[in-house]
Amino acid sequence: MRSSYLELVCPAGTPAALHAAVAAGADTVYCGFRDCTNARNYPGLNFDMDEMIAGVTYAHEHGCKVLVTINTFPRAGQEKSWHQAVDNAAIAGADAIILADIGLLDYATRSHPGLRRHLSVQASAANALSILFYREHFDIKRVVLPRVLSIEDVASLIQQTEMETEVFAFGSVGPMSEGRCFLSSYMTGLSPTHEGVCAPASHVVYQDDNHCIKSCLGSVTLNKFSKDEPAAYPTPCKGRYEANGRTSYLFEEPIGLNAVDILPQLKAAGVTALKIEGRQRSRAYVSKVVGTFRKALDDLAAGTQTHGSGDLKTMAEGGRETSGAYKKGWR
Amino acid sequence: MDESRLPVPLARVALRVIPESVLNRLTYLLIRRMQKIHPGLFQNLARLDAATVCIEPSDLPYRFVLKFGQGPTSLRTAPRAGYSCDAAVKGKLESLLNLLEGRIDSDMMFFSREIIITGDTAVVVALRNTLDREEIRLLDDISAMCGPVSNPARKVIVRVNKFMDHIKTSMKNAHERRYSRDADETAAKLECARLQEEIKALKFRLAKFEVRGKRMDASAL
Repeated sequence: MRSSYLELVCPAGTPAALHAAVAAGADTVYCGFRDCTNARNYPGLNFDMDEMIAGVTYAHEHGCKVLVTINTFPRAGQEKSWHQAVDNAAIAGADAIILADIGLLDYATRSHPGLRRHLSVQASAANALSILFYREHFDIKRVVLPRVLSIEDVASLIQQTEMETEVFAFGSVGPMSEGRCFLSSYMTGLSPTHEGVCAPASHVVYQDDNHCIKSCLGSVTLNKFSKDEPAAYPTPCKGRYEANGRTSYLFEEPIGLNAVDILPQLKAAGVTALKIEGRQRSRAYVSKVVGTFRKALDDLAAGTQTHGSGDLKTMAEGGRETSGAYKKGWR
Repeated sequence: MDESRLPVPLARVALRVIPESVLNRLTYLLIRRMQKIHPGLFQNLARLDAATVCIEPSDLPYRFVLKFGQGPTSLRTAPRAGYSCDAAVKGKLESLLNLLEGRIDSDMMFFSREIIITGDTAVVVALRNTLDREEIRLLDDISAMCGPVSNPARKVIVRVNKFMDHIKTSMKNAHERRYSRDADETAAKLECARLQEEIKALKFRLAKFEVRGKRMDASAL
């Protein structure tokens, strides 16, 4: 369970990104089907069945594993699409599937007992009892931990559960309970847990107002960026709101998570795998971020110091980075 | 210089001087050629909802109108104002070419405000994701338009760009030399002024000594 090797798990939103991730040194890539069964259901993104089979074959030929993400929650009466996704992942030869919904976990356990199951971050399993429940009932082999835990919390959970754990190493910082953004549901009328996006592109509008950019989600103005101010994603948790006569980032500032400088601590905590977020990002992003983490992990294995964080600042949301809850804990 | 890239300065000059009617004919031929080289790209574009996107290079006097989805894909020029699109992407020509070829992350360009997106975001996201699936090298595709002479054509493009680069470097060096000469002249003038001031001070002190000497001579008498 505790390995001295930190597995690098990388995003692939398209076949081209999968190739880029493999070339940049990914140990494992994760991807989803072209529908609402995964939490990155953006237009033009993801894999159809032929692309999934070709992607798995290509990755395996290059010594890389493939995880298929089926981590949204089936809508009542429409479970068939989600069951089909699990079946298709098995047919494509995926090394594991990443699930969140209890019903779907049950289906996968019964239908494909030999297919490895990972618990998605969308399940928000952040304590030992919860993780052990999923292991006991659905034989999950790995848990992806929510981004609200400090390194000490992570180490303690690993000790208590003796589970393989995957933690986020690069991506966004979200203050919501993972995958359950009620603000987004309120603003768009769409559920992130069902539709697979927290800021549906169909509801996002940018207005160029004399060099000021106004970002809106539905009818709500989330932010206004002045000239030369870095822009950010139009997500409700990163909005700049007015409260008590003061305009500020009430929940979280536009800032990216980067754990490249705390890899030794994560390794010491017993973490199995590092997850790079960004299936909705381009292949240029995948090449750059995966390449940087590959080098940092190789340096770590060789016992040399890592110096990678500065390289990725421009890739981070708002052009700023944080080690998130790993160091400061959660509010 | 990366010889796999379409030279941006050359492209910018060409796009400024080629008459619009000729340019529209060339873009039509380019799209036809790209359909043969990248059939997957055009199949994926055809899967999208029908949309029109304005591509607006900030360093060109006009913009491009790209139509795709549920029918043939087309690209043509349009005036900067007075044309309605579902969405628009604005930025420098170089940024937009990098975006097309997937060389730079589009979110990063958005954060840093190198590109600005307006209108229907879903249309732009779908287009970006569809383009990012494909390995596009515009220089190869433009060269391929020349058919059997594509290789010599590519060499000509690279050579003309090298020549332009050479001219640009020479002009830059000449500019620096000119200004460094100016800087030398300014320094000499300053030194001259400082020396003049010093001579003036010495003359003043000498005059004082002379006065003092005369007084001493007078008192001795």
